[in-house]
Amino acid sequence: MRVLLVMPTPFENGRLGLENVVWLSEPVALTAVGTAVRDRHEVRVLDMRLEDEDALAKTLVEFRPHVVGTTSMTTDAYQAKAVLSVARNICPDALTVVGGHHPTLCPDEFDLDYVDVIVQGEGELTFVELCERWDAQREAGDRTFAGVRGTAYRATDGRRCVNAKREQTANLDALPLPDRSLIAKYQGRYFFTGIRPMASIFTSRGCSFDCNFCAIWEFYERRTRFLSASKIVDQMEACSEPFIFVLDDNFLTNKRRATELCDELERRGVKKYWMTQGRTDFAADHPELMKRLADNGLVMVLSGFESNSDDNLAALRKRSSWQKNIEANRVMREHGIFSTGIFMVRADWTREQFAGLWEYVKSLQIAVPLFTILTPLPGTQLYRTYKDQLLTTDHRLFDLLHAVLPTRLPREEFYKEFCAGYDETESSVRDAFKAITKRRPKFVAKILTGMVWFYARTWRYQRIHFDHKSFLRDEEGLLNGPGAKAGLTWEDITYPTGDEPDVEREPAGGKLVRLRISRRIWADDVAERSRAQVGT
Amino acid sequence: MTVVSIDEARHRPDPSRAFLADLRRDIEAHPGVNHLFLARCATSPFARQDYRVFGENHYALVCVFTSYLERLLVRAPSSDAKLWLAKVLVDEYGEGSEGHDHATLYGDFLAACGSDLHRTPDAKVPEPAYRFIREHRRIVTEEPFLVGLGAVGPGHEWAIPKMFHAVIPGLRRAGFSEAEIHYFTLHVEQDVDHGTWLEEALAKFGSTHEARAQIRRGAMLSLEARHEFWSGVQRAVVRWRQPRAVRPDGAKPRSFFGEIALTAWDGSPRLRALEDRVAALQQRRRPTLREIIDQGRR
Repeated sequence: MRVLLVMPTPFENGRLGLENVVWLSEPVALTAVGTAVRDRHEVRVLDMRLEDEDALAKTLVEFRPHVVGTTSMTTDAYQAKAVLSVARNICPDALTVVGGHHPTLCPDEFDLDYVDVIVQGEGELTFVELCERWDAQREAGDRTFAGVRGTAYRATDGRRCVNAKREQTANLDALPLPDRSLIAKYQGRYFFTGIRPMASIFTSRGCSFDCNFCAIWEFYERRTRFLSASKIVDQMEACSEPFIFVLDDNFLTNKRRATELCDELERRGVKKYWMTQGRTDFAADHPELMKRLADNGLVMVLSGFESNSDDNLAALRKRSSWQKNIEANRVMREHGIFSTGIFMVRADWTREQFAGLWEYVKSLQIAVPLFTILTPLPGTQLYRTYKDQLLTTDHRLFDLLHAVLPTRLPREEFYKEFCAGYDETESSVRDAFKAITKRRPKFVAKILTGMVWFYARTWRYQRIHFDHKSFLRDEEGLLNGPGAKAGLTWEDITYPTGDEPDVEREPAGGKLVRLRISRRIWADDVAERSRAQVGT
Repeated sequence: MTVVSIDEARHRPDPSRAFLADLRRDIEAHPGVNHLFLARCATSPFARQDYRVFGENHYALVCVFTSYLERLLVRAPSSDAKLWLAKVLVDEYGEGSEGHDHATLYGDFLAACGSDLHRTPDAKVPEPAYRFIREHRRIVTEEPFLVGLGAVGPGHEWAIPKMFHAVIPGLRRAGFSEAEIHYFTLHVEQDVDHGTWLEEALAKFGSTHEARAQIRRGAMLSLEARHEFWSGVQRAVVRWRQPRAVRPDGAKPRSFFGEIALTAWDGSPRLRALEDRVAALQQRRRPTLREIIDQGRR
């Protein structure tokens, strides 16, 4: 069979979006799924972020796939649907499959006549079984997949059926490593700021924390699994690119594993520059280990600093503190690691609160500050709390750059304040770069050309991003969600304080556990629905 | 004249019927008909404001379509061909629409979008529409008759229902009433009829390999222009929200120096003023709606 896996564009080409300039990583989820079936099927991966608009239709006509699969985060949900809609039009006989975070957490949104199968949770094993079944039954045109765990499909009477959840693969080493040759044609085009050409790998999945604005822990059901150090270094060695982005949701979480990785890198003499995402409290608490990681090529850590106030951090269930953020930043600077910090402003902020954040960032001297707006992303605990108060339900505006809840300041003023962040904190970036150049002159020399390229691109992007009217234009005509219809104001929104009580609940597995999860997660819905079907 | 039903004819080993089936399949799978922008209309909650830009870019095409048919009617080599063209023309002039021609129906849609373009005949035709119209005028005037027939026949009649089928759910989601989007729903229904008549006509004309090649060429030329057109409309929709939209590099990455040069260009007020002046000049050179309709009549 021929299998086409499509990475959708996040937005219509040309709109606001970080993928344009800041960070474009490989479609690792698709290469992982493609690798799982490539022994038995011919697989192609099409990254629409790096293609012309007509590439999808042309590929469908030329390749004539039997299966078309795509993946979706929240902001690109519409684009993923568009991919499958085009696929159904051009190749009506092909099976259309969608997976990824958004379809897992919000499957009902993909209950569409041109979507045959929704894959929920981790995709590799499910996709292998799905392809086998489809290969056997496609001659008969049978698109029902009863018993294929981790899927929802459409029965012959049009009803959406939900199969039982697939258990996560306990040992990540048992899964084949993503075959990057599937995206060979895009090699050299992925980047993080000016750092390129960049490869992307993963070394763990999940996060053990339960921040209420994040859906990662919900997707992975609050479990974290790790690749062994030798498998990680195998992957790193196989990358021809000088820079590697380790796409883990939270790399800095396990001291023993980080130590083992350093041991393995040293033992095998692998010299690569690599970047990752991780928590600041880990960096603050393990300065020696951070030094060792830096000595073994770690050059950038992207962390959620989130806020300059412990109250705000507690409200987000972040379980960290602003002092930890300061300490982590100091440790990283000292060891020549670029610290990329994500900060969240809130729709109910005043001018003083904005000013306080800028001051905090300047005092940190963080290398790459990224400012976002606290957004109740679908699938998160925050979303469950605020879904009836949202000003918009347009997923394109859930890009962390638009206020989807009512603002305290007039919207224009709010965006003006928000846009001012980068100008206000410019000195922080400059000082951090100077400091890191002194510590790591070789690395900085290596990314110099890339940084010129990055600044050239960013400059053009900034003209849009620094103009508060861009945000207003983006949302014109789209603020028609339940909160807007009800005429809610910022005073109607009660933000969490972090003092909410934990609840005891019985999860699908049957054992009573105590979790800081106030409400159900997607896996509970799947269990309930599949049980109900068995009952009927 | 013996009329053979399509189903009956399909069972005969008729090369022209097989050709038509192939052609129809190729048209329905063409990137111009399955443009991502159209799929986005179906899947993304575009606002009325987005559809205003869509409509203002599309309107000119609606106003001039009959002129392609009229030109072909004059050039038609036989009465069969004339008959088919005349039938379609009658519909386009307003049959089945209570006497409202299609431009009038589209005007209702524009009004619902908050545009008064249909009352502004001296507005310049937008670039994507102008390129599309120019190419079709060339096809129906300069190319052989069958190429023209391929363009306005299957290139339109088999393509439009499928394209509008994608747009209509988006229009409904944006809150337009059925009366306001009648132009679109009518075309899904009406063009199915046109397509059936067309199939009869094309089966007669597509008797030789050469004739079939000409019909196919016309259809493909039209769809290529259609693809360009939808890409232009999408750019216009994005630019309406973000006038200084990011310039994505697409399949061919810009070189390092290309990137620097582009930024230098964008960063120079003089060069940007020059770019604006060139754009204004190009716009001035494009005809107005009134002019392009008059050109069609001539």
